[in-house]
Amino acid sequence: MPPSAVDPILPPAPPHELPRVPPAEWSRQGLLRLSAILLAAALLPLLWHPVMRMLSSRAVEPSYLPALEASRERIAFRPGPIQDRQTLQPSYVFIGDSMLGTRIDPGYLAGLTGQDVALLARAGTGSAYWYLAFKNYLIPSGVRPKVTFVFFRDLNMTDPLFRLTGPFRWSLDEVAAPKEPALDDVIAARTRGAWYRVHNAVNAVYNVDRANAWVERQLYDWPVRLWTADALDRRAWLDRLTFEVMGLDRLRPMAAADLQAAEDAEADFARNMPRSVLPLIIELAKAHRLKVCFVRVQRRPLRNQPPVQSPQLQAYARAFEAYVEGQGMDFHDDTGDPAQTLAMYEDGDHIGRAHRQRYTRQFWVNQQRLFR
Amino acid sequence: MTFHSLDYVAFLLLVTVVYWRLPHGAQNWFLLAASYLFYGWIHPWYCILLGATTVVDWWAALRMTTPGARRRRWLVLSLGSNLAALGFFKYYNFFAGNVQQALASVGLATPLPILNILLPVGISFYTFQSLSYTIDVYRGRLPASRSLRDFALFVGFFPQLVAGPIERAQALLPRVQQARAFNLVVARDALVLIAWGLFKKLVIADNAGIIANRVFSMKDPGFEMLWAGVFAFGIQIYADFSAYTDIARGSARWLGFDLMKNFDHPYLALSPADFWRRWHISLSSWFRDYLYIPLGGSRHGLPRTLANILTTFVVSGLWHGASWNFVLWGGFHGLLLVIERVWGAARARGRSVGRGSVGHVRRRRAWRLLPQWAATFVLVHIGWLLFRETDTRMLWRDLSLIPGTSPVTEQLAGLYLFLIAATLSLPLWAHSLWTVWHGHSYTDRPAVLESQVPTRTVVWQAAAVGVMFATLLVLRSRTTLDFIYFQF
Repeated sequence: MPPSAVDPILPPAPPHELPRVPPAEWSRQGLLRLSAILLAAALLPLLWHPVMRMLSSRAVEPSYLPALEASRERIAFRPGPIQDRQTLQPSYVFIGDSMLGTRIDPGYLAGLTGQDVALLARAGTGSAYWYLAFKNYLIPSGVRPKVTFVFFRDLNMTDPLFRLTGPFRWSLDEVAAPKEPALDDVIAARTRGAWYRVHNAVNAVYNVDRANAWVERQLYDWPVRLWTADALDRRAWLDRLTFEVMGLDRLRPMAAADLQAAEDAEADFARNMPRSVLPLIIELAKAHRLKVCFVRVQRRPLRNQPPVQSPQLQAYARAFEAYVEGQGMDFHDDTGDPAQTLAMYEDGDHIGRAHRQRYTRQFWVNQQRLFR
Repeated sequence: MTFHSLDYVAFLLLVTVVYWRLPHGAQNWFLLAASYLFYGWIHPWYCILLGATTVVDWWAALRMTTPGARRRRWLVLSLGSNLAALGFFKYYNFFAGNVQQALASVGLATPLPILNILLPVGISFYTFQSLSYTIDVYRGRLPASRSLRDFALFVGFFPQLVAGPIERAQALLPRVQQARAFNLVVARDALVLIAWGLFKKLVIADNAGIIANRVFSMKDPGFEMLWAGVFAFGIQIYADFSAYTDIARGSARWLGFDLMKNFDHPYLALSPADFWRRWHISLSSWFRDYLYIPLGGSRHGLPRTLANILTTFVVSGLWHGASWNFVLWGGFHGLLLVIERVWGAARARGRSVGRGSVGHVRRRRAWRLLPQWAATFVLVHIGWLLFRETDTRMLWRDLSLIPGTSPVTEQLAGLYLFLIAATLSLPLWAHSLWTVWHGHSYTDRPAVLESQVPTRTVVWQAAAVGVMFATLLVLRSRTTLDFIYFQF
């Protein structure tokens, strides 16, 4: 009995669409037609240029990172933190992302040290942001803290592309000056690969960034127009959606965690350090006689044991320490600290709120030399 | 290597150019090498398992056909080795975890070792493809391939190796064995198919996926938000998986192969059974031929038929992943089909909208089918909730949500996310409705001679590819996600 006669509840395999052996077909007309299709694919997107000239009213500025794009509709630089530093005159400044924000309780630490402590922490940032925060917030504030601590995980400090593009870019806009040549050089050195060049060339030829900003705005704004016509109200509503209704504190514990693991292939300190912001931070620190301590946080322990580190990662950490100390700066590695148990971790590599003061105290004890 | 990377574009172009300059035998060697390179691009050790599966099945099938062979023994070897590999890599941790939990519940704390190894990508797909060959040889429907090279290419052919379609040896193996000729008309159509696949993946699936992932990572979404997320996931999984199939079929056509159709506008289905005739057809038909019918199909009365349907769908659910939610998902669809069978709702079968030939649907009466279509659409999406929610405690919470009970802002947020997902899905609906309107799919029975292709078709193709590329450039998701079916 043929299967199809047995039961039609599930489908028989459908017949193939082409004849078993399609004949050879190659003609000048066919080639011309193929060329027409490829030409259409290449030329039609050029229409974004005139379309954007007609539709997009926002000012486009030359990018502060030309290695990534020629122009950009950016968020303005946010000078508030400079004034905050000037007002507080902290003795200790901490820079980093959520690894820092979930570990150090500045008020508690100020109580322990008897001196003011300031955090320049922003979740979802990378070393490009930390460098710019150091350069454009701390240095211009004129404050000369005793020590500036920079918190990072694994390879983040030598990976300037980490959290640089996409949704992370808006944070960078807030700390970036109109021109950032040193950071641009570092990024250019990292984006010299063939595919980056292809991406950048395509972006430039078709005006992709500007069109993308406009089209995405239309796509994500239109439903909000149903209940508010005002552009500022729309922005406020969408911000509320992102940061409150669907904010980090509404996420499941492990979803909020950023568990990105280090790639061994990238754990080559000698190769990546010169193409990172690490030497830039050290140069600036030396020029302004600042002491910087780089703090490598411990990733989430496994079964209450320190996380397993590949030999490449261990060699990377040793090279990092040697380089930083050779430059007269400090390095501290949390990894392997028996006091940092799994119970202290909330989600991923974040320390739970209830254990923040415990971590802060341990950190203060471990770094007595720097807090004196 | 993934289809939506520049690496793949370069790889495919290079393979195509070199391939068509070679004679037939060398073409097969070259394609085989290219397929292993493709598969081992990130983790070369994957190739060892693929090679071992290939050699065992080729040898077992060959031995089956030698005079006086104990055929069943060789079949058992093939089945055993394939299912053992699948069980070890895919199901061991699931099994160990559940056994451990069961023992713990009766006070026996027996820690079983948990394997910390990567699931080889595509193992479920190529294992099933290879198994269908040995079973068909055993059944005498197919002669065993004497050439290991040809058989290895059938199992490892790179366009469909990682996520299907799961091809049958009866269809693909002869194409491997026969000489192929370059056909510019077919290659041009394939280009459009690949462009459509890339558009679906990068613009529709990845953007809808951001919504779905965000909603499914919330610890307490309200009813409206949750179902907006489920709808977004429904759009994502269809656009994502059908995109993979389109790129696979397009790539294969460039190389002179024709892979089977895997999707037939599933969201136009009018009943659960109709959905399964349109969704992941290569897998559904595999289960039909190699599990449902051997179990007895519908030949032994209604109770046995219903049991066979349920068994088939539960196993199909488990095929998707080693997790209880997939078992639930399979069981849920099995139950729907059982109900449909018992209540005779299967009479809708003959009235499908948009199936291959839709001439039998009177368009002016199509609106009457709307309630039936809507009910099926909702049921399928309840299934997607089971499929996507891996945390069973959350699942029960999700299913007990009541509309209108969350704060107004959240309800509005749910509506907002739904509208964004609906906007992203418009090209999918347009494509499906175009098919209904014209009575055939664009890719059905494509022309193979230049003289059969009118100029206006080429103009439409050029415009479609140009618009898709222009849109893809600016609406491509900034967060590129892996193809969902890679994890299976």
